[in-house]
Amino acid sequence: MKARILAAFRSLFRKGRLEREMDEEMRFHVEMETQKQVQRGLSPEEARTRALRRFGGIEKNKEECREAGGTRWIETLFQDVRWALRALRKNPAYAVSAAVTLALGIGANVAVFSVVHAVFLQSLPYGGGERLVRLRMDAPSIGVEDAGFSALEVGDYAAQSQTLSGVVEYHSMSFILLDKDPERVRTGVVSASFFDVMGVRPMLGRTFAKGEDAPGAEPVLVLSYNYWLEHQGGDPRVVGRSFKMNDKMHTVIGVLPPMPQYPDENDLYMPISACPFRGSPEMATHRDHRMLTVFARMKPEATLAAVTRDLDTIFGRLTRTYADAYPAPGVGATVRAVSLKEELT
Amino acid sequence: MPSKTELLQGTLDVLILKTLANEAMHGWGISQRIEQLSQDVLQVNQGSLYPALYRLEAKGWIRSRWGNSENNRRAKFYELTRTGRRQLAEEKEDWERFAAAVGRILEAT
Repeated sequence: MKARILAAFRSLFRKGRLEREMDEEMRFHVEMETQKQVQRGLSPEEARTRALRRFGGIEKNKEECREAGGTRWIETLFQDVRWALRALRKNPAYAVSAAVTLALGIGANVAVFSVVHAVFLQSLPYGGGERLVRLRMDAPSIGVEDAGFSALEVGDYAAQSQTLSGVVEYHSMSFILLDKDPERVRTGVVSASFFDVMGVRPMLGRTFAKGEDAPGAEPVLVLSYNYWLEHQGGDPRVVGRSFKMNDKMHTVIGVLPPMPQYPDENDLYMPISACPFRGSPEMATHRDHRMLTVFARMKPEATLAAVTRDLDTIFGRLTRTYADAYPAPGVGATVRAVSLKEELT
Repeated sequence: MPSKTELLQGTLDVLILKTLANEAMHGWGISQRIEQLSQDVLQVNQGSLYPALYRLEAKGWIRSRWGNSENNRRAKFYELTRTGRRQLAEEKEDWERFAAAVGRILEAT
C-alpha cells in the first residue's frame, strides 16, 4: 500500500519522463512488429501501417496504460484539494470551526493510542525474540527491493553461516482443503524447525519434527488457533485427523496458541515437502527462482554487525561461483539481516 | 479458417507471468513468445498487452527496467517479482483445476 502511494507521488514529479518512456517503449514495439512484417514480404510503408493497426493506435494504448498504472488518483486528489482550499477561503468561519473540531478529535485519538501502545504493544510474543532476524536481498539500483531467496540459497546460508543458527524458510500460498466442503486455506509453508526457531510452542499436539520437511516425508499440518476455532469447532480431537489437500492426505499434528501471526495470518502450516510448488524439481534446482522468506536466530555471541559481515562473505562467494544467477558486481546487490524486533515495532 | 482465439484479460495476465518465469523480456518479446508457444493458436491483442503489463507492475507482480534488446536498441524489460512468482503458482493451479472440471463435464455422456 505504502509502495503504491509513493509510486503515485513519484509519478507526479516524473510525469515528463514517464510519458517519454512510455512513448519509447511503444515505438520500439511498433518498430519490431514493422520489421517482422517486412520479413514477411511487405513493403516498409505497408508493414508500418499493418503494425500500427495491429497495435491499435499508440495514443489509445498510452491512455489505457496511464489508467492501468493506478497513479491517476493522485492527480485527481490534488485537484480536489485545490478546489476545497478555494471554497474554504470563501467561508472562513466554517473553516475555523472545522479546524478546531479536527484538532480536538485528533488530540483525543493520539492520547488514547499512546496508552494502548505503551501497555499492549511492548514486546514480541516470540520466545527470545531479540535474537531473531530476517534476511533480505536488495539491489536498489535496478529496482530490486527485498527480492526473496531461492531454495538453493536457503541451503547455502544455512550451511555456510558462522553467526546464525536455525536458518529457516517461509512462504505463504493458498490451497484448497477438502473437509465437508472444499475450502480455501491460507497456508504457511515452512522448514521443519520454523516454530522452534521462532520460539513458538504448540497449544495442542506438537509442531514439525526434524526430517518432516524432507522430500517424501508424510504430509502433516499445524493449525492456527483461529482456524481451529472457526473451522474445526475448537475440537481437540482434530489432532490425528487427516484432510485431503493437493491430492494427498495431510494429518493434523498440532494446533498453535492464540497469537498474532507473522509474516501472514495463515490458517494452517505445512512443511516444505508437502507443498507441490516448493517441492517441484524446478524450485529445487533453479538458483534464480526466488520467492522464499528467510528467518534465522543469531548465535549467542554474534552481533548484528558480525552477522552482516558473515552474510556479505557468503553472498560474495555465491555471486562469484554462480555468476549467472546474480546481478553484475557493479550493481551493488546486498544481502543483510534485519532484526525482527525492529521490523515489527 | 477459424479465427484465432483472443485472450481474456485474466488469462493474458497469467500467460504474461508464465512467460516471464524463466527470463526477463520486453513487451514485444512477450507477445511473440505467447504466440509461438501456443503454436499460433492464441493471438495477443496488442492493444491489451501494455495496459496488462502496467497493471501487473502496479500490483507488484512484475517489475521493469530499461536494457538493450537483441538488436542493441533500448527497450523496457519486465521480470517476475517474488509475489508474482507465488501468484503464478496459485493461478496455474486454479486454471488446471478449472480446465479439468470443464473437461469432465464435456466428456460426460
